[in-house]
Amino acid sequence: MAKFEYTKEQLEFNKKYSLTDKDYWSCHGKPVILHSACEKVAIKDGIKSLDLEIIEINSEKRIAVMKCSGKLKDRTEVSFGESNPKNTMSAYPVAMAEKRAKDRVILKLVGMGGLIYSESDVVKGKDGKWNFADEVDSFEMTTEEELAKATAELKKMEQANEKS
Amino acid sequence: MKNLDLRSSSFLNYSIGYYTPRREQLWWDLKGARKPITNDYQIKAMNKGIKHEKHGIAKYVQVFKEIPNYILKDQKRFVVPNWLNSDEKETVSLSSTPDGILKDFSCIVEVKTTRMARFMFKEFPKHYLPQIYGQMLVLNLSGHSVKKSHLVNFSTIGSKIWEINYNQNFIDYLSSLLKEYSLALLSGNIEDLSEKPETYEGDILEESVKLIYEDK
Repeated sequence: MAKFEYTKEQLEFNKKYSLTDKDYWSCHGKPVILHSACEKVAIKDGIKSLDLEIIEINSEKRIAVMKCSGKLKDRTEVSFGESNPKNTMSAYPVAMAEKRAKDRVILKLVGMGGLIYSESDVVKGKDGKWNFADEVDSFEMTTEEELAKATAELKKMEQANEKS
Repeated sequence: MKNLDLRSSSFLNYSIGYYTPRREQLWWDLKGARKPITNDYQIKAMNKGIKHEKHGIAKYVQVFKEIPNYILKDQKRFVVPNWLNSDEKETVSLSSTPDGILKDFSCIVEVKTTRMARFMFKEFPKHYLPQIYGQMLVLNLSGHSVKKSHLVNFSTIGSKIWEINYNQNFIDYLSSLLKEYSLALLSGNIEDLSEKPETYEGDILEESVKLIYEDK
């Protein structure tokens, strides 16, 4: 019995690339594809030319942003990998940004962008627990950001009051 | 170990024993412990207050078009160490962490919610006066010149803002009660503290408080 409840698209993807439960790790019970599995997919599909470009590296602040471009047949995809103390605990932010950028492009090229979680979609919180990035409200917002968010929430409340 | 720091958020207990009777509060402070909050409603109300503090600040900015300093995660704690200027080894400090302060330090901003933030106070909530004037006391003893406070009563159905002007008579009254409390804390003798202090003689609402904003 499979460890995860895969979607239809994920089942087809697993079958095509001979991926098993071992190619995933579990984040709150949902499958997150390993970087090694993404590399496996790239090799199998003949994705050879993944071009990396440094967008930003700040060693002191541990910030790295890498752009990755890839081509598969007539399809071209571009994506970015970001790594900073707000979204990784890793001591190697550049390697993490590279890994995230590559994973995103590979999954986009094989038509799985947005259909499967990769390691770039999960972040480890200060409590040490993993969370899906799109479910995380925010990480250490600045005061200005927090105030802007509160202002937007206030406006919503006031609009709801006007309607009722 | 005794709690020798008197926080402005508890001045209403130290001075008039509003939530916790004075001598009971002193008993906890002498133990160096905080009275646990076990009432579910109170816990929920506190959490609502914490949740909506940012909305109260946002409301303030919306009304006055000015972003106060020391808000949200930038809140600052002001401390007056050894406020009685005692030569003893043990001394008492006063401290305060307002929700915001205008850039020129002329006005403190404090946010309060009522009944789970679902209602606004009908009248000015007098029981917050020891905290509000206590904040002015602490900041002014810290070398600032605060002249007033704005109390933002935030609720999900609307908000009110009151202006509370500096009132030396009330601050003197509050200081005397805090001094009595501090001395009892240092002596360790609960009997040194009167359970029911004298009430303020003036009409503080008439003297110094006015409603300056109300959502229609």
